[in-house]
Amino acid sequence: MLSLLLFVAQSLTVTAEKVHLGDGRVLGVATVRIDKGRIVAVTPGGDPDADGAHLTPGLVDAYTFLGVGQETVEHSREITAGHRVADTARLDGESFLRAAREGVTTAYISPDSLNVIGGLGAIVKTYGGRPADLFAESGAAARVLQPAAGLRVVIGVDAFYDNYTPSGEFTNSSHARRPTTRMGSVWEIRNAFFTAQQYRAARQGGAKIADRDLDALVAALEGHVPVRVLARKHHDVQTALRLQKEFGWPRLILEEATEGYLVKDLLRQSGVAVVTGPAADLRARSVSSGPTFEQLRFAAELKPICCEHLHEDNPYFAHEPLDENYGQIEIPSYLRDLFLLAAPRYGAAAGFQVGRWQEADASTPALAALLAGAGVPLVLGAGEAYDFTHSEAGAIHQARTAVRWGLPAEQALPLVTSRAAELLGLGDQVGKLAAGYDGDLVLWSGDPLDPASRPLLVAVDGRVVLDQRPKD
Amino acid sequence: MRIPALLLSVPALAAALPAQDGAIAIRAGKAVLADGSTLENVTLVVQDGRIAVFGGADVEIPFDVLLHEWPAATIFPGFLEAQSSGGLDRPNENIPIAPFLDVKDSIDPVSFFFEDALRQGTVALGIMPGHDTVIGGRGRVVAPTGMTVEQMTLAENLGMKMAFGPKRGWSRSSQLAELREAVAGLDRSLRDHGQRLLDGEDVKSEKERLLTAEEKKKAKDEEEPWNRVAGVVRYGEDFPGKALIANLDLDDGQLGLLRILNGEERLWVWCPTATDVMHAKQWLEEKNLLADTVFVVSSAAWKAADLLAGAGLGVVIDGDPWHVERDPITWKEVRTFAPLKFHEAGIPFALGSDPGRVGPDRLGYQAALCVREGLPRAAALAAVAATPAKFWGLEARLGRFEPGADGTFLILDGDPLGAETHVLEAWIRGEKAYDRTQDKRLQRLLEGRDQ
Amino acid sequence: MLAALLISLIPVQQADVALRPRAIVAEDGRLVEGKVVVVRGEQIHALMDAPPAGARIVDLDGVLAPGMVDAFSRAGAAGRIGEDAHALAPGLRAADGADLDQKNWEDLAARGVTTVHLVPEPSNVLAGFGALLATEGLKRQVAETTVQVVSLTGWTYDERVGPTALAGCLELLEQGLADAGPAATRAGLLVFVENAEGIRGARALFERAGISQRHFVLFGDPGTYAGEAAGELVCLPAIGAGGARAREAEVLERLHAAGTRVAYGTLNGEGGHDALRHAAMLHARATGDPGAAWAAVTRNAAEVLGLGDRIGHIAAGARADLVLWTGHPLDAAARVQAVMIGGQTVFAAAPQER
Repeated sequence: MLSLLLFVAQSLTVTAEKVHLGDGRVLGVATVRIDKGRIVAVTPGGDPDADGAHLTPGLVDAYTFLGVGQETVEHSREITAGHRVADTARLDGESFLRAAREGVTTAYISPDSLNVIGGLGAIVKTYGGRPADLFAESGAAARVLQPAAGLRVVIGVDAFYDNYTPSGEFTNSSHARRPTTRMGSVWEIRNAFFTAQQYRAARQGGAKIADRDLDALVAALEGHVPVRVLARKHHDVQTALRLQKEFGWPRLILEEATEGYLVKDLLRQSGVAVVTGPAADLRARSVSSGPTFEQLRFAAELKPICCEHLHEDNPYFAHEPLDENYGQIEIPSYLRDLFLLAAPRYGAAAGFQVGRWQEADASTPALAALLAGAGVPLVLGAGEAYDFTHSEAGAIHQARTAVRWGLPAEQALPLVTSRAAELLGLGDQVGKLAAGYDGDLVLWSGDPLDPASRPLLVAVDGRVVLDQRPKD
Repeated sequence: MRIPALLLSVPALAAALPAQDGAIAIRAGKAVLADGSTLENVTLVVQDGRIAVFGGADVEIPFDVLLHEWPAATIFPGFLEAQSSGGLDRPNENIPIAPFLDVKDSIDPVSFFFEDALRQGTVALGIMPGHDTVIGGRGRVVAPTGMTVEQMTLAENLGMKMAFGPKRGWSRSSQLAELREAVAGLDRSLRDHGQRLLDGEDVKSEKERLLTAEEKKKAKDEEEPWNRVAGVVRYGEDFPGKALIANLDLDDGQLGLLRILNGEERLWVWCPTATDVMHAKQWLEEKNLLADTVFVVSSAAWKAADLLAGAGLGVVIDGDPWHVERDPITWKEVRTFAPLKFHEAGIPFALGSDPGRVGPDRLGYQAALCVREGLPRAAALAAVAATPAKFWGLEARLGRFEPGADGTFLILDGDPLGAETHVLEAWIRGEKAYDRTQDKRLQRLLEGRDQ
Repeated sequence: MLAALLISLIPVQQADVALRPRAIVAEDGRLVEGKVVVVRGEQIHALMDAPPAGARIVDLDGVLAPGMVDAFSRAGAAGRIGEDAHALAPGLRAADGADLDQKNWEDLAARGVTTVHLVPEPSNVLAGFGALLATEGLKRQVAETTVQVVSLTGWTYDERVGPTALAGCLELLEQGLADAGPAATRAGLLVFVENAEGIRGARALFERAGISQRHFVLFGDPGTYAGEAAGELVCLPAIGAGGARAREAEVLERLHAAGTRVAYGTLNGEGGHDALRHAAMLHARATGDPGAAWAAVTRNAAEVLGLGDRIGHIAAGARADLVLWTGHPLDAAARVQAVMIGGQTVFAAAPQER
């Protein structure tokens, strides 16, 4: 009986007035039929489920930190290449449901930025797993598709901001004698890959040695996993390209590349793909260079929030918001969000915030348009957007922002569907509405690129996450 | 400078002459009004900084007025930011009771806040002191253009800021106690002073009996300056000497508080949560001040929608329009879209631009969010383009294309709520304040030039 | 009552003693009348319907129940039982760190707790062996070493040398198990966790290492992750009287519905000496199952320690750790009248004056 119910739950038929196939083509009225979790057919015609609704494939976000919390970051050393984020990420965290309800059905989860080589990212479906939370609805958890889908390397301030050199005094912290500069970080990277090359040679020579971290580095050297380098400043982008030449990484993906537009020709020539992070369409942030009075004021006046982790749904703090009866001040969400952006803190993801702050002086929300216009292979990612209880910065918002800032509209949706799927090596499985593809789709109340439009129906592998279609 | 149009009546020279100050005409392919309705092929004529004519394609344009033709663009009255403490060097003083403060002393015309507001299409802002106060001071309505506060000002007195949500680090008890003490303190000192004046009157009339007419006049001049106005205390019960108390008897702090209690100020009251709304409404009703009050709330106050219905002028929602709570048993998020609740309760509401949020924050976007969540287009647009003008008492001047209103409008390349709509030009009181083609910062971003 | 006092004055006899209480607390948590518990030496010899011939019959005006067992505690430790120098200390033994003279033990006994599983602090990834101690009596050590304590919680974190996260703990655990060898884990593991990822990661490691006897202690908020251990026997900290909130009760109900059984421990001694009893009472109220609640403070701990029927039961072969209550122990009005540990009466409450 249960299997029959499951079988039924994975069948779905949806008709919309406009159907975006994911590769840029758009059909008129058409019907998509899903059976046993897969798309069986996409046929023209049918009776639309809702007036003016558009159908798109489930969105693919190629750069997120869903479920990534303090437990994933072992930062007593800088190289933890063998750590898999899928082992210690909170797969039934609420951010997955948020992402799913915004139409993101497949996501790449990145290791955090506190370590120079933080580990292996994972590709998940945002819904359909088995939640461990006793209060979660069945299916409201991520399902891991690939536990080792990218090796994360960080060039930039994120990884070294909280290291320090001991001066005169004895120190007993692992953060001392660790890189405190970019060149120190890059040395760590080169040392790690150099050691991995030697390790590989030794094993090929018959030595009986095993090391999880070195195994992961060797996998990257051999192209089994792509190397994904976080590089925001343009010189960091160039360093990444140099490292690729030196070690011969068969597959390299650049993350964020905030100043990539300054070296766009170099990028195009290299053929390396870029996944952008969340665009800052903020007032008084990206337009000026340097912090404004407003940001300094916010950063200076806020009460520090103890122990809040960025990438985590931390119920200990999240579930006790403003306690009305005691008159404690609640930091309004807009201040809190800006605080998270502005102020460094201890703990996981703090370096990430410092990096995003310090290295984004020359950021522009037109990055996607500029890179796409220059012919750089590009995919849009949302980064930490889903970790906030409310942000307008998820994958579809990235597409909307990119269009607003100059990306031709017809190029936008593929950057968060089929092109993102190809980048993750899942081009035949997700990101398109076509027979044989996974039953992941989103029915929007209007044009998906219109901010006034929202998801009416979201399905992952044919399972319905959200259904607000008008009942008639 | 007012030059009668007829004096510039040489047609051949009309095009060569610069337009009069604040005199232009626009022909646009579309107009969107603040109620969301759309008109095709409109003409707007602005003279002396005010709208002279608004009509269709057949409107005759005075030959001495420079015509701007925008066949593909949309003209729109502009976005209005109902209440903000941006552009001030600091939003609040430390002193909790500070009715003597005025934002005019703190507004920085060069602040990036104003430049960016204009870029996003905001044509007027109600600048008030921040929320971290009990009585915060006076605000004013400004346009985001001008090099001095006077040039920016559209209306000098927007009202007085009060806060029932506690100051940072305070409890609600202390917050309310501070206010009550301040009022009680004023009551006491007024009564004392009234009694003293009365006693003084007795002594004076005794003395006067003994003076000559000349001596009397001299004494009067010395004791009572020409700008002394008695009878300033108009609230509350009568007490001995009440009618004798004059403006010069009180300091700025007392006068400020007095004006509030007299009901002479529009009050902008910060009540982030439902409980704060309850306390505020109670206090305002006690003091008979509810009618001229705007409630500035956070999304959490949706729970007090029934209290707010029909109370005061309406509500400004500051910050995130979604209220997120956690169920105490399951710890799952429960989200409520506050503007929808206020709309359903029939409460006029305005939205803020929520600066600093993760994601777009401009007013047009906030209105599009409302449409997404189920509000009708008219209500969403009103929240960012019409209701703020009502709260300011400036509905005759802003948010409408009617003769006599300010010549303030935007030229947009699409619908105001559109995803890709940009501000091409912004005109404030008949002067062009923003031109996208001249926006160097924006061009730098769009073209990716080295910063 | 008087009979119990008389018992205490008579030295331990070699003859069987047949205790005939008004009722006993059965396995399903209900009171059963007409039973006789035959004690021989340190053990319960039999549970019968009538006293056997030759036994000395003692009539008891009260309810007889097995003594409560604290599944994990640091009460009675002499200072700390923890190793700060290194995250792996599998050779540490709680038995070496016990302070048997503390008054604590007497107080616990007087509240009906007869055995305590003393554990090293879970501040090391491999923390050492626990010890099972009786709270009173002549022979206090019931088992010198029990399970190996593993900790995958934030208590192990050390900014100086690591680990600083669960990822690091799992790494160390894998290495530590390999280095320590089978002797360290022969009797099973008691694994302190605070999230689902800890359970999943540990489970995967144990499968690879071939360790099957392990139980998880769920710290933090089990409501957010206990689904990962559905259907198993897990340990929970006893909250104590002051801490219970609506969510805790809901969590217990859901655990019960998923078939997850519980054994309570006090670890930090929070909630005072009545913590176990209060935990059981909350459990009974939340789940509506007094048998499960009573098992949670008696025989489930025995299962966690791999001691089978030896403690926490009224059954043949179990230790004679018995408590005489004035009523059902899950009834808030009931008090302890007398406590027997290892066949010897160690505590008798003063008669109440009316």
